[in-house]
Amino acid sequence: MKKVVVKMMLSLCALLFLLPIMLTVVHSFGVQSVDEGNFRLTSLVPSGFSLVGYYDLLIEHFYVLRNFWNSVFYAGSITCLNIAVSVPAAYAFSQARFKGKELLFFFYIMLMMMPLQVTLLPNYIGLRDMKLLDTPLAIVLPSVFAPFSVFLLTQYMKGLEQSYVEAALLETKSVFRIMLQMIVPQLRTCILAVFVFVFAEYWNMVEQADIYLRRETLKPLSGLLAIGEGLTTSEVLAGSVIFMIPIVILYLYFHDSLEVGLESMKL
Amino acid sequence: MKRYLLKCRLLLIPSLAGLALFYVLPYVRVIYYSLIENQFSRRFVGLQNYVKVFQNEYFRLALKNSLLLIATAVPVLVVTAFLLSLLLLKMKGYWKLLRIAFIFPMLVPTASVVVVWRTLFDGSESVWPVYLLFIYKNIGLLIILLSAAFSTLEGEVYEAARLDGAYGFALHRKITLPLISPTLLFTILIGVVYSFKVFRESYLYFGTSYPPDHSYTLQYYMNNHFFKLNYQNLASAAVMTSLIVAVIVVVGVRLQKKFTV
Amino acid sequence: MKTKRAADFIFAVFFTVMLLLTMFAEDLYRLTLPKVAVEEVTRRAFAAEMTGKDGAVYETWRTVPAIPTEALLGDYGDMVYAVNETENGLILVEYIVSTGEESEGYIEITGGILTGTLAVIGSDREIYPGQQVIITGWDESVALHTARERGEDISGYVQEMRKRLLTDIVCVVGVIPVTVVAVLLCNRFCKGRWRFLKVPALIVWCILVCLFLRATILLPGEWIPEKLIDWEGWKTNRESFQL
Repeated sequence: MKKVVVKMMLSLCALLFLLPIMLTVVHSFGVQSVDEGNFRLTSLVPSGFSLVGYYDLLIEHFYVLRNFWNSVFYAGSITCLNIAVSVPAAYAFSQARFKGKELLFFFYIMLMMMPLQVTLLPNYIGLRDMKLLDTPLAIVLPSVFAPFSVFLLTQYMKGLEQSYVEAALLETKSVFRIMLQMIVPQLRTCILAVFVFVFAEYWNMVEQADIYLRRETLKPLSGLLAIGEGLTTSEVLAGSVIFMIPIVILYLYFHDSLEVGLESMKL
Repeated sequence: MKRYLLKCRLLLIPSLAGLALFYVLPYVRVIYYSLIENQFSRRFVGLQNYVKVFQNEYFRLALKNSLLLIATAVPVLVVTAFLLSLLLLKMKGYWKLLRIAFIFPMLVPTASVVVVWRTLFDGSESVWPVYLLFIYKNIGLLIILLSAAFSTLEGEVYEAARLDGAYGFALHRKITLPLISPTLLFTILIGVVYSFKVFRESYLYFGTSYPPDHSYTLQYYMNNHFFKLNYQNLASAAVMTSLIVAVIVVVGVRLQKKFTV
Repeated sequence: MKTKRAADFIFAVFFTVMLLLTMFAEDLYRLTLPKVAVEEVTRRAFAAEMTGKDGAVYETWRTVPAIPTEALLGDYGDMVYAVNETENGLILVEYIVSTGEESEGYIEITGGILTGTLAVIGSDREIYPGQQVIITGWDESVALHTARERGEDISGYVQEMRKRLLTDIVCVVGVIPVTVVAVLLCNRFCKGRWRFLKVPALIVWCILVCLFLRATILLPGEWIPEKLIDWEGWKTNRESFQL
């Protein structure tokens, strides 16, 4: 009896959590009253069926497609480069021994915990001095070195078997080969988790684009949707659904790795 | 072996170089900016900028709101995550899939749900819409972390405790809580730190840089000064915020080390 | 496993649709635009009377700017829609004109609009000022020829056309090696669940990707690969942001 109650409660909670997502999807196919600059649903109960939002967004405002591909480009390249930089760094943290390693790692943790608004200014100054503002690189470069993935990968590596290195050293002297052939396969779960998590984070990026970029043609879709300049409510809803789909795909592919990988996020 | 270890250090270089280039060296300049009068005279004025920022009523409002967020939303977040993961732990078979509902919002772009959010809380004059959005976004991560901690608890411990006569709530208080307190502390730390990151949700929810007073947090203060290119205020606010976060992190990590057996 | 199958499906459908839309959205958009027929405001001969020195009245003619009568719109019959060429395509603009005599279906314009303006004389649906339109019976080569004869500057247009042609060539030629490499790679590495990526689907995909690149290069505004490094932008940025 008690179990049934618990199950009921949990299901209710789950429904509550899924409600915003489901409402967005359902209403994107519904009819919205035309009132610009409001961006609220006319009623919570959907009325009628229409594809007007999708049509208007994708055909009439087809330039939004460019922003969509910008988002794909930014999130994809940031995530891939970030992992390419972080895996060696994490490997070094778990293998190398040097003075101040703990301190350095603590610095990474600290940086990871910093709110974006704090790192935004140093990043901005760095970019300005390198004259990279208002280019795609402005979005990509600082984020590539974001320390979260180094932290997670290092912590995950602590739980791995360490004895293989000496055996591998007999065969090859190249650190890179050891890393690629021995470590990366073992890290697979964690790398996938990092991939999903970091991709979702930068897919959702808003402030960087607002501050580093001026040209509308370079901006990602997220900011455009949220502010919704020149778009109607139904278009914003349709855009929201389109914007969500890549994340849904990633989650469907890697949901188990994501959970297992993130579990190693501890101090 | 020695050469190998030496070579391993080299692997850190790309990451460190990037951090130095985009985070550390510019941060030094931020500190420098926070100490000069303005960009033209470049006169060294010590801590005057900090004092000025502290006297700014908007900064104080922002600080107050940020602290309020930590004091109210974070406990709710952690307690909810704790209860949910405790309940989810007992689910078997298909019921395990319920986890997805709680974890998926972590990844969903905030921009995708704000329209519904605005409708649900239309006309609400309190801070709770943004707080709930914050909880909604972050609860997935906390549930993953707490569930992992719960699942490492051995069943035998409970058996032994039952034999000693501990049941129900007392059992959890005596056994579960101490065993997972490091994780719990870490989740609280994450909650506090992520509450500083709530700007994005708030910004998307209000769709403007000038939200109602009750939601004007530190991040708004800094973002708005960004658009005014008011470097001195911005730099001092950034340094101060980073110090606050640094203190929180150090205290959190210390506390956690203390509780870890 | 089932969820991954579902993900495969959503992935393929979603990105194919997005690719197709990117390629053809602009063309589809053009199809939805109202089509208007236009006529240039030109000087026409109107019959006139002239009184001579001797007081006799002679039949003669004068040339004045004129438009077809059906171009006049509005309650007072003094409004003319004209098509203006802008960066955002052909846009409708309204003019208030003052009119003179009428003859043979044409009406004299005494003010408000210049000769050479393209006045709208008909459309397939309701139109309003500020709207983007396309012109029916618009022959690019003829228009280009007239523009050249008039001595107008058409170098921008020619450049645009050259860019389009070059992009087409690059994309068509590019499809072949990209497809071959992709097929080889996939035959080597795609096993198990990824088998569906093998030859047929892959060829279609490669063609799609190349067409997509073509479309994105031609979409208005700059696209990333084209201007990865914007030197001019850097310079202006440096000046405006220098502390």
